[in-house]
Amino acid sequence: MSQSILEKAIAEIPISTIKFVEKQGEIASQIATILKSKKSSQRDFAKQIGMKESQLSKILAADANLTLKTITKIEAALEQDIIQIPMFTSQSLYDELIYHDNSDSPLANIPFSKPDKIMPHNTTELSDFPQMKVFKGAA
Amino acid sequence: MKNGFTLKLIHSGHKGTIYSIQMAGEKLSEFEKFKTNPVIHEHKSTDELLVILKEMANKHGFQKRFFKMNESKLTDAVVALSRKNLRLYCGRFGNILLILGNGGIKKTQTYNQDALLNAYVKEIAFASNRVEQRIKDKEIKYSGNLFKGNLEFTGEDL
Repeated sequence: MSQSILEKAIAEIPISTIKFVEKQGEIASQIATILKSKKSSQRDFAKQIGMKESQLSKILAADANLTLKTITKIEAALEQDIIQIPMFTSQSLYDELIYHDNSDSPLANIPFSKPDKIMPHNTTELSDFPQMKVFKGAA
Repeated sequence: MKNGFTLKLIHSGHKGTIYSIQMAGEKLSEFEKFKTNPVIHEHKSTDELLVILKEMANKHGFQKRFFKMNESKLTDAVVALSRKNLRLYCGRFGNILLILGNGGIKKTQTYNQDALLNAYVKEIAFASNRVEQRIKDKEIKYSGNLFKGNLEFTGEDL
């Protein structure tokens, strides 16, 4: 299928910009959908979170560069998460890269040592993973 | 505009379709002129504006919250897509159809203080009115996310 005029215009745009705008749009839609389901007006919600209505309008127009603090404040007020962060955890990482016999992997010959402890899936403390140093060195 | 215009397809997605007005006798649509204008090309928000157009057509629809509404007194259809001081004037037909006009950098308090932006708003308002009339007359219909029917507006129609 041939590219549309708009797709041709976007072809030269850096992927980082595309992904940024995609996320802006998705976050905006997520907030708008939750506000609608809660029958909460923009004005009321802006007041609730101590934000100017014009600032909330920009967020809902996918025209804001939100800080993590603002996202968290919105999530707390909505009592619902608006973004999900995929977790790379000890278990999934070792399952995928270390303990599987995958001789085709470029990582196959890297000498990993077994961790002292296996962290739960929702753990993100990299300092708990001495093996991360191996990744860093291998990159 | 006095010699007529056609609606040129710019992009069609799952949630909506984007057209632009193309004046009779011209090679480029108003959107293509906007995009190739060196001043617009250099603007740091142009890329984001182009991507959000595609995102709306593909994922979100042309919901009101994405636009500055009621930009013209001539018709409710005229809206502006804005990023910082960059404006792209459009005719919005529900959440599923968008007609792009031209736009530029807004340097004045209101667009009508700027002769060029004012002309672009009048242009898209005029075109949107003609399209609305054809929809009322059932000469153009919505079919899926597309306009179906005669999308060519000759000087005699105007």
